[in-house]
Amino acid sequence: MPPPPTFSMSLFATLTLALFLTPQPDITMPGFRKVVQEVAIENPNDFDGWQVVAAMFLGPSHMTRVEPNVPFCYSSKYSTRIYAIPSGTPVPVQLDGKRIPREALEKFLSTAIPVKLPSSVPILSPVTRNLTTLRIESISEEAVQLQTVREQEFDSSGQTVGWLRVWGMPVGTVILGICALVFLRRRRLRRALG
Amino acid sequence: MIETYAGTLLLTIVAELIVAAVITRGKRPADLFLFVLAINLTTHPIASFLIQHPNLPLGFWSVEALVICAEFFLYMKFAGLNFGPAAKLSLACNSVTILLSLMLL
Repeated sequence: MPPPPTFSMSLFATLTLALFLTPQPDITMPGFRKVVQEVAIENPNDFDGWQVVAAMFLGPSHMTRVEPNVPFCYSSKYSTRIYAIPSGTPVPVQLDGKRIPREALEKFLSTAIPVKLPSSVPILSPVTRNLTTLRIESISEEAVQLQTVREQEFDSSGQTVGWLRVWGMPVGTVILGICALVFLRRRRLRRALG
Repeated sequence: MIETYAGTLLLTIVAELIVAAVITRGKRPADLFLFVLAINLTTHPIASFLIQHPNLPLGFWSVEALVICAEFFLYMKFAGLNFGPAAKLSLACNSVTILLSLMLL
């Protein structure tokens, strides 16, 4: 008859289940801080008959007419979207702090903005702002097609933060840890063998 | 200093060393402190990456659960601890560091 499961085994089974059951909340987790997220579009004026605005309706209202390569604020939490509006249509770009009604733009063509850069980083990261540069591939009656051109992260002085600067030390630390583990295990086994 | 990666890692290692010293004061395996140091050097950066990666579905608690399981495995396979002491050490050390994360950061 197999032995009953111990407390330790039960606890580990519970922890393993936690891997699959824990939801991903939209809050800043312990040890993380928010960064400024911006988006720029290279070619908003390339499409005759259309003007492009960026707007969000949830939370604080914000709307801006998109200019070539001019960054505008992006919020994943408040669902910033790109709207393609026929030229000549009046756009309430400034509402002096009043909440923009969703109906104001709902009838126009819109698309979500494909931002993959994270909205928060570990507090130990040098990144304070990130910028996703996009290109409009096409605007038709059915859809606005966007393509990501590049993704950049910047520190507080405006310098670009590369992969090595963010992960050089952590990767080096992991390598050091693994080497130390292997060395200590070999030493322990040599001692055990006498 | 806590706002640098080295500061956060150092705080984690110091906390786990203290916990390891307390719970193994009766019978301490050889090189235990060195193993605690080496295991944290291995798991802490990976946990940081997993927590912040935007395309992975893992959250803070899932990653911490993974860390506990990983450190348990490393204590058994590399430090040579039995199931019970390895589980106790991994759970105790990481419980304290999780509490520290929630309180300080």
